[in-house]
Amino acid sequence: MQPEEVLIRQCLEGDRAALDTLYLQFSSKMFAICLRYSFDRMEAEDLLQEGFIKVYDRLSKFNGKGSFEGWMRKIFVNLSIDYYHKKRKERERLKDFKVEFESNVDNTEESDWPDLGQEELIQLIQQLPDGYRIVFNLFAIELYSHKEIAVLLGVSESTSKTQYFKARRMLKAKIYAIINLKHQEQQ
Amino acid sequence: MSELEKKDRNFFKQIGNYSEQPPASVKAKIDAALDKKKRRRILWILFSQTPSTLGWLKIAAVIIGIFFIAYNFFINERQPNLLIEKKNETINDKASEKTNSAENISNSIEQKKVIKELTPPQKHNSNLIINSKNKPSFVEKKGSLKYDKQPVLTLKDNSKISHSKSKKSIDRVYRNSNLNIKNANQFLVPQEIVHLNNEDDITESGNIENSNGLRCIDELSSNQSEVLAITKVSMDTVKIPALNDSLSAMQKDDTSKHKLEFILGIKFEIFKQQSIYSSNTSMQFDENALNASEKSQSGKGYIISTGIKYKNWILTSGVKFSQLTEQYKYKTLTSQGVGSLPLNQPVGTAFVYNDTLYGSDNLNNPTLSIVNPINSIVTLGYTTNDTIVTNSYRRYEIPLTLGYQFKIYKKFNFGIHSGISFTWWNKISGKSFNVDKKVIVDYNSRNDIPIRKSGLDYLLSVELIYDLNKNWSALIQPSLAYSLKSMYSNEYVTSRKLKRVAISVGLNYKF
Repeated sequence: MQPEEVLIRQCLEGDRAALDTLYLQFSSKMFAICLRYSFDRMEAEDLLQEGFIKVYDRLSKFNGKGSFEGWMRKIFVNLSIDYYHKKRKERERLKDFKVEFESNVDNTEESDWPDLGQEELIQLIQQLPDGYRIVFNLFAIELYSHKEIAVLLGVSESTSKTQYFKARRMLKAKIYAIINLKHQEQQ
Repeated sequence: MSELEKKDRNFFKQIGNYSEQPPASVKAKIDAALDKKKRRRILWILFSQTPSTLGWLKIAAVIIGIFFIAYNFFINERQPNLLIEKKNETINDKASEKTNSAENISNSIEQKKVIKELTPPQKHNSNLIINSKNKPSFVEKKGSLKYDKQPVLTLKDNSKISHSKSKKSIDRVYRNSNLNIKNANQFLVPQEIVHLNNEDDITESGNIENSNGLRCIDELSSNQSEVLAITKVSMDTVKIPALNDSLSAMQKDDTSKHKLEFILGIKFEIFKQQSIYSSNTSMQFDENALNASEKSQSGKGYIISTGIKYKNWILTSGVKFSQLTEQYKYKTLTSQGVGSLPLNQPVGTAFVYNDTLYGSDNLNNPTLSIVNPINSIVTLGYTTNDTIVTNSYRRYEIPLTLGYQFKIYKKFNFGIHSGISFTWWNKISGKSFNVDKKVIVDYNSRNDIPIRKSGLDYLLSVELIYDLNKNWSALIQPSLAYSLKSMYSNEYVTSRKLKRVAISVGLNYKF
């Protein structure tokens, strides 16, 4: 048997040490996912906690097909989508962002992305409004199609596309703003 | 997928592999949550969160248990404090009723008892008198006692109770006095079996105590002369005459008008339900559509009820589980693109009510404009389709009603009840109209549609009861329920109250 399978079996038998090992092995990657989907670190920590409890609960449902990490990743992404639904009210802020963005930003349809560190990029993704952030994550990073996103979020495919393009514009604007700031500081 | 999107994915690929060590506090929280969950799992065995049949049986068992505790509490209040440890007991009762309210009671109780303590019952006016002319006497035959003259027990209303058969081994203290006959046990108290070796066993306080330290407190008098017969017999082979259930029933009939009755019932209910929406203008189009196309709302329910009845008044509670199914008919419109979009390719969905299109800027027109995914305006045609969606709900209720029951004809009784019902929405699944997006969306939880967790209903019901026998009765009960609170939460743009007409049938058992 593969070590991963052994670990899962031990977890299912209630071995607490195996659960700890599982956490150590995957927590860093899952935390990164949580960071991307959440508004701030605190929310990400909540997501991570809830996600791992969900993983422990559903371990018996893992059928061994596909990678275990991929299965876990899906649980965390779905959990993030649930969070998004719960925060429906906050999504109203989208409109304000839209106005602010459209009046201040140029060069938004450029295809190239300026260089920026991963940590900084994640922080900027976190700053996106909930709706933008979730669509952006699902499309650009999780590689879901707009059709799949539409089903997951209960929106139309065109809404998903629109949200994505607005998200990337906003993200790009934020990146440029940071780069400009860095230039100014250097000068 | 456009080149732009491909480049995006390529760029953000690195982000997908990013990892960061979470703070240690998260692990501690997870451990704490797991420990808590483990503890909960133990309770889960008794009360599962899901409304399974097993779960309901458990709840029913708890209700019945509470009911019996309450029942015994009230009964024990009327009894002397008897602490009897029964090692083995076999009861064989036979009873027959005679005309003119006379009863012959034939019974025998064979038991091995250790009597630890008998607290005397309160002396009071009993309905039972041992006829002084028929004092029991015994003769010894083949080493055991038999009735020579059987006792005749007379009720105050002159109906008679007698022991019709002789007993093989009798060792008793008999008294010519009024006896407390609240039930068979109490009747036995004054004639309890004692195992006496000599008269010294009768203590100064009037207690009768045998050589083994077993004792019976003489509840009526300390006068030894009232002891009519004391003989020796082994405790293990003792046989005691006792009153059977008929006596209890007779007494119950006599006093039932003045004491509490406990009722346990089961009912099955079918109902029809109607929604009443608020007239919120911002939701007018949606709610009109919902109302206009509401096909049916029906359901069924299962009820376990308990009641306490005093005279004609009855206080009822219980648990009810109901399932509701509702259907809505939506008229959907599928747009078809022309011009810049591929011909006949559906690009969106809108809704039509009363020939008015919703979900687009351009109404009342077979050609309309909608925004396509790349923000350009195109001209479209549309076709309409009917869509029927089915929603289902599960709900728990705890009704609490006060009622009045009275006899109308022979075994028929009539009752009227009024009260409130606490409700909990449990499982919700179906489809809903999303106002923002003008689309029908699936929902499977309270997160998708803002349905309250709990609610409050007003209940009004009448019932026709038919007494099958002294304990069992069948009933049919039409009822009306009306939501006092909207089933949607306050934040939702409209309120929806439910009006329900139901009819239920069931059985009651009276204790």
